[in-house]
Amino acid sequence: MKSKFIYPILPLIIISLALEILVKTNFFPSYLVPAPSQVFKVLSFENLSLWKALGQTSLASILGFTISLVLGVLFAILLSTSKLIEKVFYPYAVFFQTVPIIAIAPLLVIWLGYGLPTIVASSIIVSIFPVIANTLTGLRSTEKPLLDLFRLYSANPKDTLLKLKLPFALPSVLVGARISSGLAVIGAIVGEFIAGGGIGEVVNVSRTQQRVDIVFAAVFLAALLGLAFFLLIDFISKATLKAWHASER
Amino acid sequence: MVSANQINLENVQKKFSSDQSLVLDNINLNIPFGEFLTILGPSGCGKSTLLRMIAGLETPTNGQVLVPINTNEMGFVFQEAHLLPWRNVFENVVLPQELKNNVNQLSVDEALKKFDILDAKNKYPHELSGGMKMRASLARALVNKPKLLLLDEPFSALDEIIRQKLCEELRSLWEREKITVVFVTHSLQEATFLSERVIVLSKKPGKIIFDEKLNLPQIRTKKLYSSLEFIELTEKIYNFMQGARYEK
Ligand SMILES: Nc1ncnc2c1ncn2[C@@H]1O[C@H](COP(=O)(O)OP(=O)(O)OP(=O)(O)O)[C@@H](O)[C@H]1O
Ligand SMILES: [Mg+2]
Repeated sequence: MKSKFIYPILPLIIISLALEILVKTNFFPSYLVPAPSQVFKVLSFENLSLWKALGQTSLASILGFTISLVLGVLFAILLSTSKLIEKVFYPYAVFFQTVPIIAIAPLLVIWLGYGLPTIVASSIIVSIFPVIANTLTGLRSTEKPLLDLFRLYSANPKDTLLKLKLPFALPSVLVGARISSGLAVIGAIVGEFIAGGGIGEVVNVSRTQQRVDIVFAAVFLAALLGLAFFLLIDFISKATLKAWHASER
Repeated sequence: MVSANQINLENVQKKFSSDQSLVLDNINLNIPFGEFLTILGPSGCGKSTLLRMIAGLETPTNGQVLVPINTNEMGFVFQEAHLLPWRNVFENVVLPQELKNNVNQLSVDEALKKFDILDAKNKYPHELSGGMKMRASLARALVNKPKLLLLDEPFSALDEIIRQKLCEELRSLWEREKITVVFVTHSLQEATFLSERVIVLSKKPGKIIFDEKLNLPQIRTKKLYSSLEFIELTEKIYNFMQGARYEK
């Protein structure tokens, strides 16, 4: 179990060591690439505000992801109710996939102001599509004979949804959730670039001050956050599947 | 001719809108309540379609299908068990009652007992063999005490031994309860062993080319297979089926 984590950390250690030597021997100038020890120093003591930023970004990502999940599933259920509704509204779902968030983030600031709402909205816009698309695929994967059986027993639409279609869709919903968890972090950081706060602002400000060490530290934290988030959702989805979908055991 | 205690199909034709070719043609069929009827015929001739029409899952393009039985009083079993994987055997079998809001644990246990799967009631589908899954599926079809049991090649995915065992159990269930059974199969042996009456459909578009009551003993065991009357009957139906395959 432990060795599973050692393997990916190994290259990190080797590259860090190599980089440390290259920077300390002035092979790379330290204003372009910071020495890993310097990044580590920024992370550990100097800058409490960096950790505060991580907290803000985490909160925005979790909010964005949760709302994406709930709205995405509800939207997919709506789309799945009729072919016509799907034809009319699915293109708007694709819009979330294709919209350049950088271009509309300033609009979000105008509508929602500087602060959390804009950042969460940006996170939602970036992360909602995989939930919609995967849930919809899942809702369509119900075994046909079982749909017939529910029809035969004149099951009402609510039972058909809750006792048949949604459970059948659950594995797909969780695939969507896993993809969207990483995207929610990216969306939040992009939002922070424009609306301020969190890791996005730290990167943006440090960049203008030529503090590559802080930029590196912030990017490193952002990557860790994305990874932690992904692993958390992965863990939750495996646990859920185990309980609901006993065949996964 | 039409009465309240029989299923009646009159001049039934079926086309699917997606492809306009006839699937079933000129089907006239009376099934008195309490009969065990088996439908034989080559692949793609419309057996499943006919069964689904009786269940009300398809509507005829022309003609009339009169089934004076509420769909709630029907049981349907498919080629595969189609259990819900996140529910254990008991929860799967109780489903039809749950959907009607009249759960009765005792009658669930009774249905489980009929197909000898009570011991596995807390197991999940992935923990069951193919035969046990089919037993659960049969129990689910019986839990509402249906008047009509519709079975679409339910045993075709099972091995010979289990298939024979389930045939015997289904037959003795019918002997005890005399519910109406319409059974679709590819297997001539299965058809003759199980039923009171056999119809054979021609290849697509399916028409009834053979319709006969079988003159076999009520109580049926494995010995039946080696009896002269059984062999003669299967021979006769076999010849009709061969005709169905090659003649238009
Ligand atoms: N929903 C559908 N839409 C269009 N065509 C269909 C549909 N269902 C069945 N068919 C066609 O109707 C014909 C009869 O199908 P059906 O499943 O009733 O045959 P079958 O006798 O049960 O065959 P098998 O023995 O292979 O199960 C086939 O040609 C099939 O392609
Ligand atoms: Mg069929």
